[in-house]
Amino acid sequence: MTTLSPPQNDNRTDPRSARELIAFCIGEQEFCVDIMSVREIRGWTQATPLPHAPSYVNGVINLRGAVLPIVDLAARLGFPRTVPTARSVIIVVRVEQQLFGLLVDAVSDILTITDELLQPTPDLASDLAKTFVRGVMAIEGRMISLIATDNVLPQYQNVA
Amino acid sequence: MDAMAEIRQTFFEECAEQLAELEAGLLAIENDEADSDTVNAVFRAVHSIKGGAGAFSLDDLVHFAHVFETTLDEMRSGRLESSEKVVKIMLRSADALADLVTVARDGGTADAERNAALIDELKGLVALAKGEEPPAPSAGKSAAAPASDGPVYDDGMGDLDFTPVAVDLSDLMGIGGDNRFKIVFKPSPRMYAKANEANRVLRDVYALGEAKVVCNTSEVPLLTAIDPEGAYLTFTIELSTAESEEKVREVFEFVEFDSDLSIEALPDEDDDDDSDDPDIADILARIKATPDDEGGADDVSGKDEPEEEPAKAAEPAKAEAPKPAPEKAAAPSAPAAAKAEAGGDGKGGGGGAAQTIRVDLERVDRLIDLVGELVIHQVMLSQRAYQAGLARASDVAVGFDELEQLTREIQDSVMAIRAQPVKSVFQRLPRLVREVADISGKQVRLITEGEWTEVDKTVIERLADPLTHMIRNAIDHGLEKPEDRLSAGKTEEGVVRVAAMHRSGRIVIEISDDGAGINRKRVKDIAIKKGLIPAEANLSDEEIDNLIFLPGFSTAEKISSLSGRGVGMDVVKRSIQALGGRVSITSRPGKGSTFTMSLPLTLAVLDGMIVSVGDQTVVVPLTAIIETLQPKASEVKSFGGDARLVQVRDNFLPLVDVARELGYSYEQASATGGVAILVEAENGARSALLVDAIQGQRQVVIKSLEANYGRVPGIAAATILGDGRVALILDVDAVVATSRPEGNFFNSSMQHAAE
Repeated sequence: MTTLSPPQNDNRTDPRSARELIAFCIGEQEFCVDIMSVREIRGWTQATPLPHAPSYVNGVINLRGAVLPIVDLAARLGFPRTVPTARSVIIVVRVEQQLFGLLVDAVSDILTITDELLQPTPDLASDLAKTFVRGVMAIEGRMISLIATDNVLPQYQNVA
Repeated sequence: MDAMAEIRQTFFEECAEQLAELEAGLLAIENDEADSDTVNAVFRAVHSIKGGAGAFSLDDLVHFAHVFETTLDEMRSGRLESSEKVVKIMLRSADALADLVTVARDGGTADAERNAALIDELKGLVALAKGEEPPAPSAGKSAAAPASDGPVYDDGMGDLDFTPVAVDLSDLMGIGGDNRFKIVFKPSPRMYAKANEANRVLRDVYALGEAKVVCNTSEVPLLTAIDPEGAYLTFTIELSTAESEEKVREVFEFVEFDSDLSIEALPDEDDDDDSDDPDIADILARIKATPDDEGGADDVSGKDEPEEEPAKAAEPAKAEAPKPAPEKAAAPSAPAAAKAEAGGDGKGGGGGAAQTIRVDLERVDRLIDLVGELVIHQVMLSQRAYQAGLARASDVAVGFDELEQLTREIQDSVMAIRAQPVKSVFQRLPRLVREVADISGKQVRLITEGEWTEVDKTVIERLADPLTHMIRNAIDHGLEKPEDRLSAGKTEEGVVRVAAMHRSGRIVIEISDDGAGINRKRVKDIAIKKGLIPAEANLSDEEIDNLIFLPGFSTAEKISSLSGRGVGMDVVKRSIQALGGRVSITSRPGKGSTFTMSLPLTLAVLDGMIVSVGDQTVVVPLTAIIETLQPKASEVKSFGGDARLVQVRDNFLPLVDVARELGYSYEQASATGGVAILVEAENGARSALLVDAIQGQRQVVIKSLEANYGRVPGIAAATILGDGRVALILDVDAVVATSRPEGNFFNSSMQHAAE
């Protein structure tokens, strides 16, 4: 599906040139997102649950006056739901005009990579994971998956 | 180029204002509510448009405006009677003028044929006016050469088709009379300090008859020595009037003791002109009303912006008498000057020209957002201080209280910036009514009330469409054909009344017609035929009336160009709901229907009741709440499966378990442990919402959920409470509707959200 689509507008420079990614952990696994789509990183605060929301939506928090939905990335990828602790982290990302937060366990690294490092998502991965993982890369013996943030939020606009 | 575009933009903005003024004036004339100021205002509006259009070389517009203006001039001078027929032509001309402005702005082509026809009609009126009354020699009209004593008209647009108009002051100022007086009037600073104005007094003198005013400025000191609150001018007035000396003295009644005043009768026919000061006379002539005088008497040498004077004089604090000093060397900008006046007129006289500034809306919105944040943080701060053990009686607590009041006041004031009278929407209605009436072949009279009712700008903007739909509907479906009306014993002319009012923190707009009312049988038949309701449905009159709001409902037997595509009323309803409003209809067969729209005054804040639902805090909009009660075990009845009813006095109302509806809990909450909030949905159906506890009542700032997420069923919007957490605002209608899955016709509000 969208897995292999070219990088969206979150990469203004030449795709071949180096780009920076923010890496983070969910459980034992490492993921990353393009640093250009990240607006800020903040600690966990209790979210207000939304009725009838998918299970991977924790709820909404107050981000300096804006209502910010929080997506439990683990649940979104089909893993067990994260139990947020005081040490959990919210990565605030922007996709087009929408801002939302990704709940992750910890931010681990800032990486600079070129696109050659990116390998296609292996066929093994579940369909769900493939929807959100744009590719994987091996860095210093670790495997890090690049998350495409475009489809993380439920598409309510179409329903409404 | 950009600067030019900006000026153009301003011109068109002002055009819109002038057109509105024009139309309002013409309608006032039509309804016999006009005074001389109205005619002048109308004339001024067209004149300003012409002036501005000339600067942009919009020749079509200039040409049309010129003919229009000429005709209006006939009306202004009283030679053309403002009969119904005349006003109708004028109204159509106003529409054509508006079209021309639109064409000039957006491109496209105007209906040249219609415009030509109108020009002919307007010219015909002028001819008529002239034919009926032999033109008085003094009343040199339009094409007359520059007036003998008037300087050459030159506003820097010489090569345009601008026709100088000679003005005969006596014609304007009313008839002279037999009694002649010489009045010497020297205001003292005291007079200005009491907020009296020489200007006004002189205007009143003019109202008495023909007057010549000489202003003696010899006492005015040099600028450095001038006392800004001093008074240095002496006016010598020669008045020729039919009134007695007593009447003349009455004019000066209030200023007599604060000025040196002498009034003496003069012998008849004193023909000296030498003391005449044309400048001051001109100014007063203009004050008397018309920009066109300016055309006739504008002086090339100085005072390029004469209309500056009334505006200035309107500020009593400045205590500055109208002083014909060449202050501004700027080129005359007719629209700007006229606009300053229009502001004053709009507020219903009083002379205080409203001072306004144009501000980018985004800046205001940003300010409103920030103030919203300020309020939240102020509440948060004081809550935390109290939680930390701050004594209620301490100085700091007092400080918090004051801060709270201040922030509330700031919030109210900021909100007031966005408030605007609904007039801007109402102004567009007459034209709409005329057009719809023409197409449908009905005679319609539009009555508007409460057009100064203020409401937030966003509400106003989004009000226009539903209102347009509803008025179309009222004319097309509501009113009968003239012949049907006659046979029903009504007047041929149908009445559509649009009234705006404030009612308990909301704005209510009623659109009523005196037509046939809703044909309930037909409505029901159609709804059944279209499968919108089951054939055996037993509906109350009210429910039948509300069927017209259903999607896909249309009673029009044949589809007209006006309505009848079946997209009418449900779209109306949805757009009103999107504004957090409701709409309802009452209808009496044979007497007509009334649609009532009720909307929040602003989309930014909402009065809500803060309640606990499970471990969450939820806001219930106060507007939906009727009362709250604690149900006793004996009052709660099980009904069917797991539905419950609560008995309130003699009624059984469905008990809606909010926690369950929102998915916060799967257990049925105990009815006796909580609080029941009686709410009324927009269709009038009542239910009781079961919540755990009521925390309080508060005004909350509405935050959009859609911006970053999407619509949530049962939730209208979000807000941020004093503790910094997000609380959801309940969509009462949706929650009530979804709790009754067994076919409710009115659950379209599911997806509505404020914002």
